[in-house]
Amino acid sequence: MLINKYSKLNDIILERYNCMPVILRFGIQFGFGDKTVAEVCKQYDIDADFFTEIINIFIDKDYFPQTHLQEFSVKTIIDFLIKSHQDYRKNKIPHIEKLIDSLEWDSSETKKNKALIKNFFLQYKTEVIEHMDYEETIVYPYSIKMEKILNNEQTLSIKELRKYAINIYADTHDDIEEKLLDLKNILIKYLPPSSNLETEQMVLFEIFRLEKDLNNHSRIEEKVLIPKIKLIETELKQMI
Amino acid sequence: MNNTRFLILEKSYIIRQGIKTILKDIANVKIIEDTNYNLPLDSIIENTNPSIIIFNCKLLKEQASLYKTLKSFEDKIKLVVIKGTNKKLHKNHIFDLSIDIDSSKAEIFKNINLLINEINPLSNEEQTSELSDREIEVLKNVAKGKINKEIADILFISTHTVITHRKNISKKLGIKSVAGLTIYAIINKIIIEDELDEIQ
Repeated sequence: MLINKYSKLNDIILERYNCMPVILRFGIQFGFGDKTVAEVCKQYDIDADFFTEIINIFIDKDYFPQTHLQEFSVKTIIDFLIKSHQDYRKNKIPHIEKLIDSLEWDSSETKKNKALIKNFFLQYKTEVIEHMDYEETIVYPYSIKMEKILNNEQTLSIKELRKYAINIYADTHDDIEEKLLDLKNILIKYLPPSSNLETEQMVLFEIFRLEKDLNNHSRIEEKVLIPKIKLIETELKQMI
Repeated sequence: MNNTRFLILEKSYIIRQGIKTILKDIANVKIIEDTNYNLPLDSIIENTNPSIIIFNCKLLKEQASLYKTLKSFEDKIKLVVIKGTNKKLHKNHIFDLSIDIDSSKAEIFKNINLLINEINPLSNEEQTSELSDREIEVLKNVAKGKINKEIADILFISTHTVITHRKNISKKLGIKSVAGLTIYAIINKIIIEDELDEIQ
């Protein structure tokens, strides 16, 4: 069931606990009593419409109000994307790393298996961090600048427009989830079972969650941010 | 596994959605919905190439020509009719399966799956993820960090063949990245870690 601004935040979590990480990512903390989405968002200075749409796309994989999402400001969209990055960097990825560290196997295989999985995950981590660094240092600042120019908050320089274009990003925006799929198959199908299956299960759960989260994240970048910046670029070029 | 293509012939949106939801729940299916009743059925079938057609038995009464058209496809396409519980089908009917409108999800699940298995019996090749000797050779070299051209030279095959092998390996194992394939090779002793150390 999709949510709206007047849904109680408590009910949303009770019914769909999977969206909890996204709610917390907005900076909202527990203890919100019976407050509705609109009330809590007001308290934290969050755009309630944006919040609602984001929660909904995480709840329902078939729901993606592309046009409505594109109506929000570049800044609003990017603020959320950056908050997600911070969550991946500070919490989600280190958490999986720690869980992998605590995996154990019987016999002499422990060291070998752990090293294999750990190295693989570290390679993945490096890739993701490079990917996020690029977005945070190049793509996002560029996008925000384009919006500022459009709003006359900054002057338009032709040089700026020629130096970078969102298409460079769009063409190279690669699939960073591929290695996660590999890792799942390796753990489920090929690696001998670890001696603490509960931990191994948790590793898998966290990978599934991260993968889904990243999927939604890139969907927002590809279907909302990129098309929106393309439109702004076209508009600015006409102004020159 | 390949998707089974279903063509749904049903005018009511509500019933159509119901059929769609049930099918998507029970099997790996590609659903073709047809709402364009202006086209003759035989051209719809030829355009969409379904392996199963699922339709409401009421349509047979409304369109006399429908039965004839369906009959002409009888050998190629499985026909599933949805009928009222008390309705009896003609003794010599052409349908592969009839589903009562009151059937439970479990009954529909069982019958549709039987039908799908008749169309796509799992071939041995699809069932196994075991690599062929040649694929193991290719994988060994991939794990050693060799590029396609080098592997082609070592195994005396074309680069194109190497690429085909690699695609099949990834499909069989569910692992795409070189790092992931290397782990598989080590776990299964296709490559010994010492060999890796030598390269690094």
